[in-house]
Amino acid sequence: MLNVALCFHVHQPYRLGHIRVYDRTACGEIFDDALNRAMVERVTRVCYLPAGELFCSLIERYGPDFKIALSITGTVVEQLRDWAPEAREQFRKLAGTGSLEFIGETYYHSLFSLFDREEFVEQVHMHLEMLKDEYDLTPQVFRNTELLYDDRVSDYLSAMGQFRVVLCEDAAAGCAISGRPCRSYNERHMLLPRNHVLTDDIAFRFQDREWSEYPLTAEKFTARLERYYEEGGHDHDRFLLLYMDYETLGEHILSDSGIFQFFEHLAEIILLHDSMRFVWPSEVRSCNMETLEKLFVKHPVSWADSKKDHGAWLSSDLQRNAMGTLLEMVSRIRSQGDADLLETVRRLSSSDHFYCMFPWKGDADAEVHRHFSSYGSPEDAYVRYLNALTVLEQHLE
Amino acid sequence: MPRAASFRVLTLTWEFPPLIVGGLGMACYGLVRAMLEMGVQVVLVLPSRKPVFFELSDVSHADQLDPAILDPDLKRGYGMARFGNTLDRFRFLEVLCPPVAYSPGALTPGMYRSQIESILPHVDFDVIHAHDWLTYEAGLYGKGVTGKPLVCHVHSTEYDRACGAGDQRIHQVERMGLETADRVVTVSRFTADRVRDCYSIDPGRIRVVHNAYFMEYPEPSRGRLFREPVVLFMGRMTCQKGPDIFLEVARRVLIRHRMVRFLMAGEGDMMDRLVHRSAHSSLGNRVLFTGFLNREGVSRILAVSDILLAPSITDPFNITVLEAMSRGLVAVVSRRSGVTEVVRHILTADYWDVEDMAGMILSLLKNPGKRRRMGELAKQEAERIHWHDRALKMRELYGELVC
Repeated sequence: MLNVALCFHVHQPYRLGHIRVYDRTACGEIFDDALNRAMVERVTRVCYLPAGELFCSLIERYGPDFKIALSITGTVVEQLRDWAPEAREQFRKLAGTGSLEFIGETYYHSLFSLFDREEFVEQVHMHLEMLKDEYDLTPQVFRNTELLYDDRVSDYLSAMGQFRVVLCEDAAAGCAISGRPCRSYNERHMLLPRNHVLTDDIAFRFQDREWSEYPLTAEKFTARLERYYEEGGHDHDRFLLLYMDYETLGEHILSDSGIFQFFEHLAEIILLHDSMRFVWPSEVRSCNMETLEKLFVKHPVSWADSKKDHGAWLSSDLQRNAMGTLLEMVSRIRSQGDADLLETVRRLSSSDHFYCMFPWKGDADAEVHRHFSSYGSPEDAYVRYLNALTVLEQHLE
Repeated sequence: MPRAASFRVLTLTWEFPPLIVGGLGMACYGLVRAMLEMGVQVVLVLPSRKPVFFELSDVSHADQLDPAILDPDLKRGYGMARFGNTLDRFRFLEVLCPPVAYSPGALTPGMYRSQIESILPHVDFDVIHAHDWLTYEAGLYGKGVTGKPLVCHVHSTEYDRACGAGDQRIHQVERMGLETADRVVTVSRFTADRVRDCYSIDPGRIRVVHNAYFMEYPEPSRGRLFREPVVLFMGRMTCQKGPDIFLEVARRVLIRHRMVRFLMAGEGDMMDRLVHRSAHSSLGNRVLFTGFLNREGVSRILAVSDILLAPSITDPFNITVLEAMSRGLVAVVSRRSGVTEVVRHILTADYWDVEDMAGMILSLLKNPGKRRRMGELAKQEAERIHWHDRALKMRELYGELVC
């Protein structure tokens, strides 16, 4: 059987406003509320509502056989609460169907697994609480920000006891064995690697006119799934993790390209297929842990950029100095204990801020960074960011 | 022969508040206001694709900027439209925000000249006063047609702005203007020497009229942004102003003394490079950028800063130094700045001697008493500098030409 785990990631950061550091800005004015609201309202209209409707109808049609998993950050849930209550309601409705599995992560979509265990664990706890409050659910599966994984992630999670399965990028496992879960080096977690090729067929190549499979249909994609399954020698426990941004539906890929119909049709074909079915990532636990390969991951691997490491956030001078300043500010604010400042600095810890500081000129990766930035340039993003941290520091003094 | 007090001056400039890029706008504004105060009348021409100018006879007109519009349709449209502020009105009249010369779509001397061609038959004046090279060709045209004397005012030369050889086309315009003008006015002796040496202008035709300053916004109460004192860079982030030198001084100071912040206010072609360099030095948020500041922003940032570091490589004047002094800042200024000719209570250094400047900053940081005393003296000195005195000199000069 080919076990298809279809996962989506839902996230919106708090984008920064024009901050006048010489003007004693109030903490609340660091973020561009008008812009954030407009972004959330837009993505609600083009993605969250229509995608939610699609999945609700599929769940209604196919019952418990249709399964998806969602990772949803605290920062997007907060913004939906403030600006798009209808979208928030719909996520809760989806959660109530029982067909959704929720995945744990850091509340703020941050990079602390690389730097600060205490803050990382705290943010994971905050996210667990949010899932409990918002959806009354407790996850068993964890994904770190942008699938960033190294052995430390498993170590840090072990102490929490909560999680059994951690999702990672197939590059972390050596792509050759993707489709088989692994064990973390400390044997505390099962690791389920994402299949980046088949995911990108949808998330990146769906609209690529140069691609031989264009236009991608559910039939063609299923044929690719079959080939993938056969390559594995009809392995009994072959898993396939397809994991992409939820915003792929309707936002990254516009609805008139047929992306919604694609998923609708794909669900139908997979559910009618003799050797395919939908699973949740947690079902990987049916595997015998003892038989799985033990995976040592010394250097961080993520799903971002072609290098698939932490370079998307931490390779340039701008990014490194910004991170150094953030870490200093987090530890100062934490030791001082002001709850409002702590909340703001945590919003500033979202990886998106660093992502926008990546150089825009160069290769295809650079183009992706440019596309997803809401600022005028990487330098603009950096200047605003440092000023934002400085405003916090002013309030600290 | 007109009485001195009733001179009418055709003033040509491409920068005037609210259109501000650098010092030219504020210098023209200060001078025009002071001349209006002493009864000189000004016909102000700002770059536009439309036949528009401004007749100013009272000091309030320098802010009101009510246009004289020659095109009847445009005039009717203007009368019926509602505007939020002067910039809105300027946009309607296509009064252009000054662009970089010779870049695509930019203002050129030729465009400015054709504007003068359409205006000239409708205005009456005694003398033409052309500010900086973009307007020289128009000034020459006006002189040729009317026979009225031409004053070319040098706020900076291409040699200053380019930090090197510069653009040959601009050199030519500058040379032609300065050679033909009846008088050449420079904003400092430093610039007078440059005009003499680089363009072989007869020193007998050159007059120095130093800049002054004008703060439109009342002084806000002084405040602190940080526990640490603030060292400020303020101006265009372009080679001429030495923003990279500022950054290097900042780095050297911070190695030895962490209790200080460096603020860089303004924008310009070197901005991105400076941002990267500051990040590369891992100075955390000890070095911060504010982006472009409007005049109110200037006033506010001066109220929270302690030291101005102005390490210009070559600066005909640098009005910012006077503005900073007037708000009690201690200024560390490059010797190659015209402003050093008119004030004593500043610290001066060679622009290349970053170690010397770092030492001065460190000593000011470690000695707040000295800093306060110097700031107080600087403020008193700046308060004695007025555009009125500069305008008197200008009027005297007009008198020489018109008699």
